[in-house]
Amino acid sequence: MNPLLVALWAAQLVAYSRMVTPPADTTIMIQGFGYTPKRLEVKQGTRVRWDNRDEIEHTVTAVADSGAPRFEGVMGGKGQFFRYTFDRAGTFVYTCARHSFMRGEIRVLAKGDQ
Amino acid sequence: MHTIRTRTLGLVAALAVGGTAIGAAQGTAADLRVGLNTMLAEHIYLASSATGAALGGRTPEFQAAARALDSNSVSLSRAIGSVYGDDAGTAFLALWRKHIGFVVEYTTGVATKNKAKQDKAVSDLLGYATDFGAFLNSACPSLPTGVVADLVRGHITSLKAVVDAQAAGNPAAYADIRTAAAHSRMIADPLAAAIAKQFPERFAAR
Repeated sequence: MNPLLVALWAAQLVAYSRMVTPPADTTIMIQGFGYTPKRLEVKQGTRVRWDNRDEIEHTVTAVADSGAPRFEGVMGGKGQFFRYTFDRAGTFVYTCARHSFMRGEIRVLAKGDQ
Repeated sequence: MHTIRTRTLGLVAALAVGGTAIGAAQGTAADLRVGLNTMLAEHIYLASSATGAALGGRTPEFQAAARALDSNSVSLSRAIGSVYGDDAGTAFLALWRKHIGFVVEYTTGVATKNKAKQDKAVSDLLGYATDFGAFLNSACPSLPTGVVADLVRGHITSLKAVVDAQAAGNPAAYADIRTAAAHSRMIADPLAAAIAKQFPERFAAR
């Protein structure tokens, strides 16, 4: 087989896989009744995933100043996760609805700020 | 090595806070066990003092006992933080204070003869036991959540007996306080053993 042809196919395969594979999630770990990292800065459009490693229910609950829910994920126990895509820029403070002392913050940079 | 020594001494120092000396600060597994036992027993005596004063309407005494009880909580959290890090210490303190808040709610319910308030506080306390078990399991995976939760439920039940006896003016309250304090060993001993096993380099079995 022509090595040049093989190399071309390989290059095409890599390019195709980049087109169809979504970017990896940015992960926040929930362990020991805390979010790690506590503060995170991401680009607009980033999908963040929270992984619960505690053997207890935790939530990721963000509430707007108006009191309306921005987003909420409930993770019933160890091994459960929640994903949320940040389409809007801004600062999102969230807590665990069951353990109010757990707090995290995500700063989403607008596309123009990146 | 220096860090390990410093952290060990930090834990022993934190365990010594609260007024009871626990021996030389050598950081052995025995020091750890004695220190945790001392602090958890102190928790029972101070909590019982606070509930007794509250039920007896002795406000200044209650306030003093509550302050001392919170100092005990802070010392416990520092001990946990010195082993598992500041974030763990902070989370521990918040959780620990939460159960004290529920005990206050129960005591208030007893004082005001409000059965619904008592029932809610008991329910909250029993639910809290699982949270606390999960917290310790997260820090020290050899401590199963369910086992710790059962031990904490025992702690809650023994403290509830104290409050009920105090509210009834029953002198048996003092025997109940001793029972509750003795039960705290059921939590302190396995916790100390698990921490020592998790960090053998810090807690040599000398």
